[in-house]
Amino acid sequence: MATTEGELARAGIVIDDTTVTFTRALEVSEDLIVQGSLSVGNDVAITGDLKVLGVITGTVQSKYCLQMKIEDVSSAVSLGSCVVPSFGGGSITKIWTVLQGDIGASGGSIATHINGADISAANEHDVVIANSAVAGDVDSATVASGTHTVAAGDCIMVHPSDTGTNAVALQVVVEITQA
Amino acid sequence: MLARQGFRTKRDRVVLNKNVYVEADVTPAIAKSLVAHDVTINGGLEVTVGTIQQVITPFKDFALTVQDIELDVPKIFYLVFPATCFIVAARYSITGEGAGHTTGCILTFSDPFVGIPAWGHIDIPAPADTVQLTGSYVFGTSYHAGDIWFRQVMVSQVRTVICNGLGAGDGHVDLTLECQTTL
Repeated sequence: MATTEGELARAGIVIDDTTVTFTRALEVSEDLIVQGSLSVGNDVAITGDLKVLGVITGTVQSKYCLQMKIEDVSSAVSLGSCVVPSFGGGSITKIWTVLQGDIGASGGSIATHINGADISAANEHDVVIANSAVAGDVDSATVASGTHTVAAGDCIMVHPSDTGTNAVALQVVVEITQA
Repeated sequence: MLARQGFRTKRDRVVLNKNVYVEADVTPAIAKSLVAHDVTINGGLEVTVGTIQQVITPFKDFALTVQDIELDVPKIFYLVFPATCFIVAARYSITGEGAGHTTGCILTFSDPFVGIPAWGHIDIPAPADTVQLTGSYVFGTSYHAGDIWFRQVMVSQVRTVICNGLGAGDGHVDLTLECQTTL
C-alpha cells in the first residue's frame, strides 16, 4: 500500500511494497550507494567518481582518437587513412596535425574525407599549416559535433589539399566524439 | 515505521534498501552533496534524458604510435596529444632483418620545449634474425627520474621520441605510447 498522504507524501516521497519514489529533486548529502539499479528520469551531476558495477544504459558521451600519417606533405596523393573500429561510431570533432620536419616557404592544408567524401565543402574543416612552419608545429581544425558522423567500418582519409614545399611527414590525430 | 518502509539509519547515513526511483533531478545540496561525492551503483545506471558526459576527462584511455623507426637512422618523431593525459608506458616491437646484428639503439623521450635531456629512454636491443622482439618501459616507476616531464602532457602539446640511430642492420621498431587521462 503506497503512502499517498501524510508527511512523507507531502514531502514528495511515495512508498509502496517494493519502491520508494521521490517525486521531487533529491539531494544526497553524503555518498550514494545503490545496491540495486538506479533509474533517473533526468540529468545527474557528479563531480566525484561514479562507479557502476553493472551496465550503463543511455547515451554516453566519450571521446577517442585515431591516428594517421601523411608521409609527404608536398604531395597531394600522399594519403593517410584508418578505419573506424567496432563500436567507434560518432562524429569527427577535431583534427590535429604536427609536422615532422620544416615545411618550407609554402605551407599547406590537410583535407579530411569520410568514405571518399571531403568533409569540407569550402575547406572550412581543413587544417591549415602556415608558411615556414617548422618541425613540431601543431595546427588543428574544429568540427561541430554531429556535423560529420562516422560509423564502424567507415574509412577516414587525410591528404594535403594544398601541398607544402618540402617533402616532410605529418602526424594526424582525429578526435571522435561519441554521444 | 520508516524501517518497515525501507529506511534504515546508521550513525552517518540513511540506507535505502529498496530500489530508488528519482523522477526529478538529482541536485546538489549546498555542502556535502551528491555532486561532491562518489556514487557507487552495484547494478546498472540508466539515463533516459540527456547524455552521460565525463566533463573532467572526456577521453578514454588511448594510445599513440610511432611506426617504422629505423634503428640505424637518427630521427626525431613528433607526437601531438589529443587530450590532457599521462603517458604511462611505452611498448615496442622490433622486426629484425639479417643475422649478426649486435647493436641496438636508444629511443629518448623528450619534451621538445625543454630540450633533449637524457630523461626517459628505452634501450632497444639489436634485432635478431627474423625474430620479433617486444618489450616495454613503464614511466614513473623506474630509474629515470626525469620521466615526469615527458609523462605529463596537456591537450595539443607535443612530445618527441628521438632515435639515436646507432643501431645496426635493418631493424624496424614500432612504438606504442599508452596514455591515461587519470592515474
